[in-house]
Amino acid sequence: MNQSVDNTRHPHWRFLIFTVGVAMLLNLIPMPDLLLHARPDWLTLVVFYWALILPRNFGVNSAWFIGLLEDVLSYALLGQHAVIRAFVAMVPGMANRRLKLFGLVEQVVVVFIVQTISIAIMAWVHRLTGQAPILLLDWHAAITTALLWPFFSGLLTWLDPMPRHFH
Amino acid sequence: MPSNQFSAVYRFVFVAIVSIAMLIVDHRTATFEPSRSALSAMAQPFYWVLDVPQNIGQFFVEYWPNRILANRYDELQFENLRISAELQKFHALNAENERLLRLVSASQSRSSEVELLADVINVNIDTFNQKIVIDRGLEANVFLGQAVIDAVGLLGQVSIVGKGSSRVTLITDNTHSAPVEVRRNGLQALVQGRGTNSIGIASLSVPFLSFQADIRVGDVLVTSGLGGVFPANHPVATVTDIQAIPGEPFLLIEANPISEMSKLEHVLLLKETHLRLDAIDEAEDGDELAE
Repeated sequence: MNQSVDNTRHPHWRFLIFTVGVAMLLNLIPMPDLLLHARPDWLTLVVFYWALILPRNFGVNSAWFIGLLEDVLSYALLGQHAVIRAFVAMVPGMANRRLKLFGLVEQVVVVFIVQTISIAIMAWVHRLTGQAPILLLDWHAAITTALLWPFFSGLLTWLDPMPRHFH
Repeated sequence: MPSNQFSAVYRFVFVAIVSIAMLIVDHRTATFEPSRSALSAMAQPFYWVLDVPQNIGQFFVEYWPNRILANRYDELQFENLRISAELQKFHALNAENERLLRLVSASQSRSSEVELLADVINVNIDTFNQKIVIDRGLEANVFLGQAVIDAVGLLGQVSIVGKGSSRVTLITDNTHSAPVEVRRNGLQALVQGRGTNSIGIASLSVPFLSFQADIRVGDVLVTSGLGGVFPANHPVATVTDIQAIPGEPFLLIEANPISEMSKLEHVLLLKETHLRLDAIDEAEDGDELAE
C-alpha cells in the first residue's frame, strides 16, 4: 500500500515520461476519420508496459493520473479515460510474475482482452453520460493495439537507457 | 507479494469509484471548468505539437492547388492561342462576307440580269491561257457562252459546261474578244485578251482603231451588247496606253480589265440575252471560242 505515485525517484523516470508523452501525442493527433477507428491505443500499450516493468513504482494510481491528463487534453469528461487507464494498469499489477512468463502470443491475447474491456468500459461510460455511442468500427482498435504489443514492448526495451526487467 | 496483487484490485476499485463520481459531477455541473481551462491553457505547447502534422499537410494542400492553378493557366493559355487562330479565320470570313455583299449589291442594280452566284474553284492562268473553273454546271442550268461578271466588271464567258462545274474563259485570255464601246462617246470597239506579260499582269488590247478614233487614255470601255453574248453596259476595261506606230494602220492600244482578276473568289453568271443563238453562230464562224 506504500506504492508511490511519484515516479521521479526512479532512475527510469525521464524515459518513462518521454514514452508517456509520445503515446499521448499519438493518441490525440488529429487523423482522418477512417483511420481513426483503427488507431491503436498507444496509452494502453505504454501503461501496460510500464505497469509490467515497474510494478512497484508504476501502478493503478500513476495510470489513473495519466488517464486524467488524457481527459483534460482531449476535452473529455474527467474520469473517463482515467478509469480505463487505471484498469489497464491493474492487470499487470495483479498478475505480474505470470504475465512476464507468458510468451509473446499470450501477451498479445492478454492485451487484446484488456483493450476490449477498456472499450467496453468506455462504451458504458458514454451511455451513462449520454454521449455518442461507440461504433462497431471502434472495437477494431483492440486488434490493432494487441498486434502492436510485441513490437512496442520490443522497441521500448531496446530504447530503454537502463533496462531492468526482472526485479 | 500476494497482498500486492490484491492491493492493485482494491486500488482500482477505489479509483474507479472516484472516477465515476468525477464523471457524473463533470457531466452534470461545471465544477471542474476552471481547473480544466487552466490545465488546457498550460497544455498549449502540447496542442502546438499536435498541429504540426496538420500544418505540414496544409502546406502541401496549398502547394497542390498552386500546382493545379499553374496547370490550369497553361491549359487556358493554349486555349487562348487556339481561339486566336480561329479568330483569324473569322476575320477572313468576315472580309469574304463583305466582298460577297458587295457582289450582291452590285448585282442589285442589274438584278434582272443576274442568274446565279458561283464560287471559283480553280484558276488556270499562264502566259496565254486565262481560264477559271466555277462550281456550277449543267445542274444549275449553266449554258455555253453565259456571261460571267464580278462585283465591278466583266470577267468572261462560260466555255465548257460540265455536270457540276464549268470552265470560264476570261476576257484576258488570248483567244477571247469582247465587243465594247467607249462609255464617253459610244465608239464601238473590240477588247482582245493578251494573256499575261512577263511580270504576270494580264492585259487587253483594243485593236482595229485607226488614229482618227476618238479614244483617250483613261477611257472606260463597257460592253456594247452587240453580238448578244454580253449584256450591255457592263464595265470591261480602262485604256492605259495609246501608241501610234508610223506605218501601221491601227493604233496600239492597251487596256486593263476593270474586274478584280487578282481576287477571283465569287462570280455572278448572267441570264441569257435574246441574241444567244446569234452569239453561238458568230462564235462558230469566228472561231474565237474554240475550246
